Amino acid sequence: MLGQVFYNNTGQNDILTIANASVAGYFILNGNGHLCQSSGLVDDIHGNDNSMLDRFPMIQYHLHNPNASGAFYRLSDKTFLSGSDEDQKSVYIGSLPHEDKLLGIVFKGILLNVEVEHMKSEIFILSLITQALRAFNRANDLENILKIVLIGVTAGSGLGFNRAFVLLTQDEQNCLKGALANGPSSPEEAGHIWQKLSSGELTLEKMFEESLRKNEKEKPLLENIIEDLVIPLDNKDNIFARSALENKSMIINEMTLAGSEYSELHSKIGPGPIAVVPLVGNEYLQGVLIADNFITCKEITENDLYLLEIFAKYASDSIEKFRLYKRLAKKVEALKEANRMIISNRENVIKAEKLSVLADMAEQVAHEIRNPLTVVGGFTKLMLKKTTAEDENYEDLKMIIDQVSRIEQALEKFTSLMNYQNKDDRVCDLGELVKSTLAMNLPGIDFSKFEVQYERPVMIKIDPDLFRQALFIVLKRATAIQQNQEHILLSIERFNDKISVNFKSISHDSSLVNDLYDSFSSWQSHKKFKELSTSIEILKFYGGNIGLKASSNEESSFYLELPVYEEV
Amino acid sequence: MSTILVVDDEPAIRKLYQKEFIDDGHNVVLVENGIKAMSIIEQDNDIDLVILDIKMEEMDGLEVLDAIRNKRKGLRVILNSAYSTYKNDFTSWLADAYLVKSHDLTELKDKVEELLTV
Repeated sequence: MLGQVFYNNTGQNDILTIANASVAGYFILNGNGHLCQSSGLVDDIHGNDNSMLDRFPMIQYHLHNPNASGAFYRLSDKTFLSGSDEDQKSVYIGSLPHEDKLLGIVFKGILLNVEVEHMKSEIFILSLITQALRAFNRANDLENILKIVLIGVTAGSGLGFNRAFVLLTQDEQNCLKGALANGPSSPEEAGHIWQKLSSGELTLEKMFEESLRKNEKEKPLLENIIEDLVIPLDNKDNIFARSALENKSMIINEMTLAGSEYSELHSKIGPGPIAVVPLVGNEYLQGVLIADNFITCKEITENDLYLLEIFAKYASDSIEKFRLYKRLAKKVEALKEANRMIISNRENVIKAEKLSVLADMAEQVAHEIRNPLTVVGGFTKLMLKKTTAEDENYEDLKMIIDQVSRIEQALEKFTSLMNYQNKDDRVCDLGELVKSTLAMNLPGIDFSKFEVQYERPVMIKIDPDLFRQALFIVLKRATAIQQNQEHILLSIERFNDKISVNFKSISHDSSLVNDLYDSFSSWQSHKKFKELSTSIEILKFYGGNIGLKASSNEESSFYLELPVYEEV
Repeated sequence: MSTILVVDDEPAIRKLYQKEFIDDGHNVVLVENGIKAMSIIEQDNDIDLVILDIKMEEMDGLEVLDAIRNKRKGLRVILNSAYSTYKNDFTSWLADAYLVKSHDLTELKDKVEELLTV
């Protein structure tokens, strides 16, 4: 029954076992504090109710707070209980569930004390984690989360290490990079910080709160020390990489740290020992947490490492969640941008189609006017040649020619295919522009068919939407031509002051290139030609071109070419 | 004296060019479509240069150009059209020059002289 009551109160199976094994006796008090029942070592005080309150003053608290959770208390020296006084004892006092009574359980021996100490650690770390989690939830950037982690590790009311460092994994590089550090960089700085702390009453919660409020522009010296620190993760002999990859916490002693392999780190952070704990979230490795007692030289115990490990686990989850959220936010932003581009491109394509119809009409009209105009103007010029300035018709003929010129100039403007007045020129990397056009997944383009290949960024100055429009038309044509499974290589190559996107068949089949080239001939299909003509107009407007070229190995490629932009 | 073949379906244009180039001291042969033009080119080796309209019935100027390049590779050809968009047609790049029609024949005449002296 005793075990059952205890179990219900704490809800922990392991405590039930301890109680059964180490119980020295128990007592039950009613709501007024009178003893109802007792056994074991407590039997000899039966009948003397007042002595219960003398011996266990904490009973008063539980009588007045019947809803308070049960708690362990260390018995003071003057507590009298039968049995050897040399035995260390503890008492658990808590309410009996569903009854207006108090339960007291006396535990004997060191075993219980050790467990109580152990529980104290757990209660302490749980309290630390609870406070840190509350602060993590309020943090609005990764730096704030890391600051909270570091404060939790270094604060006296936290894990109490002298210094802590966080190294984080990098998105595209297989390494750990120094991110943030906390703690003094020298004994003098430590004295200064600790003196400042001792003058105020800073609880852990207040410290977290302050770190979230503060927006320090000046980096602490310690942070400068590790910001360039890079630890590659592909070297399994490296103890830090091993800790991260094998998810293993460890204490690294000075002798290991002084080895040549860690000379950079050793020179930066100073002598060991140090505790290294991997930061592994639910799914991915996030980095490592390093802590030491550089100033006080206090030994780092296995228990210290154990507590650091528990704290790091929760910290890792928060770091991971935040980084995933950031990545997601970035992807959402990229999708929004892609969506914007798709809409804008569709509008441009529609605009281009409308323009193309208009241009076609304009050309027809121009043709009908230009021919008679050439004849009228041409013959007038012939007549003028045979007339002298003194002739009465001379000025009239000249006037006709002037008016014909005016009409021809107006026709030139009228037939201009594109209206570039609203263009928005920007300096952009051609490779990225090609990739982003494919990523838009526009109708009529099988983007999976294309492979983009380029070595380094080459900048061009162009309205990105107009370029995409020009490329889109050719990509659509290439998709229609290449009906089989074969891929098309878009290789971006620079030659002198020109950069080109070269369309090549991966299997070196020349039919793709030839068919693309033929698309630019009006005898194939007038409609397709008009569409492709828009591509050429755009590229020519920016000093570029479209064409066919053969490389040194006699392989031909179809290309879109533009001038390279170089800042003066 | 060089011989210029003018291929254009507009009689007034043909007449204008004839007058201008005869004045400049050239022989001028006039035809109104591509088929006739090809038949002259195939029979008459004296043609030195062709001024070729594009938009014509039966056989358009670009087809004639393609055929000329197959039959007489070295024959000078100037595409002369009232349309400017055919400049973007790759076939048009086979011509020695592409000029949009204008009442001012200076550019056309300069190009003719330039090509005939090469």
